[in-house]
Amino acid sequence: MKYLPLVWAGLWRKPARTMFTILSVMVAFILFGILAGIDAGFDSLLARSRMDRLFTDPRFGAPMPISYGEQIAKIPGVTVVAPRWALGGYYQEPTNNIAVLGTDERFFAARTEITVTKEQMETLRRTRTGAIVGVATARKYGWKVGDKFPMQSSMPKQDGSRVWTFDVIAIMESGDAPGLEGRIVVNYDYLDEERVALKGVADRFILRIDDPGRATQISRAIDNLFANSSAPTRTISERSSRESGVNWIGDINFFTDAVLGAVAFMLLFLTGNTMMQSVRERTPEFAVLKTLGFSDSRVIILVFAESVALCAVAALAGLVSLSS
Amino acid sequence: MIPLVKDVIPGAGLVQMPWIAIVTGLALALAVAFVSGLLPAMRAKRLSIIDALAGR
Repeated sequence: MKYLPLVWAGLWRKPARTMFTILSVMVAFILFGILAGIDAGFDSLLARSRMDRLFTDPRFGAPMPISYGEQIAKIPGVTVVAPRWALGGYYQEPTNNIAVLGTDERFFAARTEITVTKEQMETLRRTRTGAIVGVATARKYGWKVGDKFPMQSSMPKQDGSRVWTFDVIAIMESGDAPGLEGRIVVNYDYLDEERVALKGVADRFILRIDDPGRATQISRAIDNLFANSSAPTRTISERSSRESGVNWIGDINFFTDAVLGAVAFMLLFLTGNTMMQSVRERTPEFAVLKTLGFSDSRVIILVFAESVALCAVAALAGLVSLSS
Repeated sequence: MIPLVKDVIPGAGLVQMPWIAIVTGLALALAVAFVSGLLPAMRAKRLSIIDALAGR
């Protein structure tokens, strides 16, 4: 600690050079933090996904008749079948993209991580235009219970208007990702009655099964059931669905490691060059220190201390600025 | 900065800053500091006092 002033003085001998080096290291570690964050985000997304939750989607894009739900529910092992129809649009500005999920209380039985009370579900059932809004969306647009929000959609209503208005009856939270729930759940019946086309269809069935180990077998049974129909299905577990989504983006771990390797290599040269220049410029000063009795090991410690201070302070500043 | 990213980029709720990333980052910074300080430290150790003071 008593050599701290010496280290400090050595670092700030050329303030501009030190500042630029610190900024470079900071930027490198901000990049590191973002990549590590994305990597961790994907890992946690996969860890939260379930094998006992299946998605039945249209195999070729044609929406599925809502009656598929009853047939799927009869397959042994299926405990919940929730139909869903997603209606996209925007709120106020075309850049504010939102989508509402037309479904019913079975949606919450299939997604048990969402915390909604029985009273709130009952209110949704009674309020035709009711909407239970995810906490993240409510926070983003400043919506509160009792508010109305219009959604401009490409799907016309019976009255010719394309503006769908909903009443916020509750705010929902997800136990798996606190503060991040963004879905908007509305009554399927309301969407189905009001839309002028595509009546009585669903774009997805969300299922729960009693045994995650039978996910593949049950998926196959469902798809076989509708294989020769006008709307064949493709059933996949939530985990498989997310894994294929992540794999589609690419090998995230490889990208992260490759960028980190490049960053570390660049930093090595950057800080090495800075320290080399600094030591070269101060050769007479080190000679004076040695004359005064500084041993070789103390001189080495001084140089290392400068190098560590330069890197560690900048890295800490970069990482803390990211997480704060 | 991550909360800012989450507000600006839809779906960026994925991005998290785990504590292990901070620890790994600091370990990486220390490793880089040691490796990059090695050559200058050796140079400072080996310098000849007489030559250095004479400016040679």
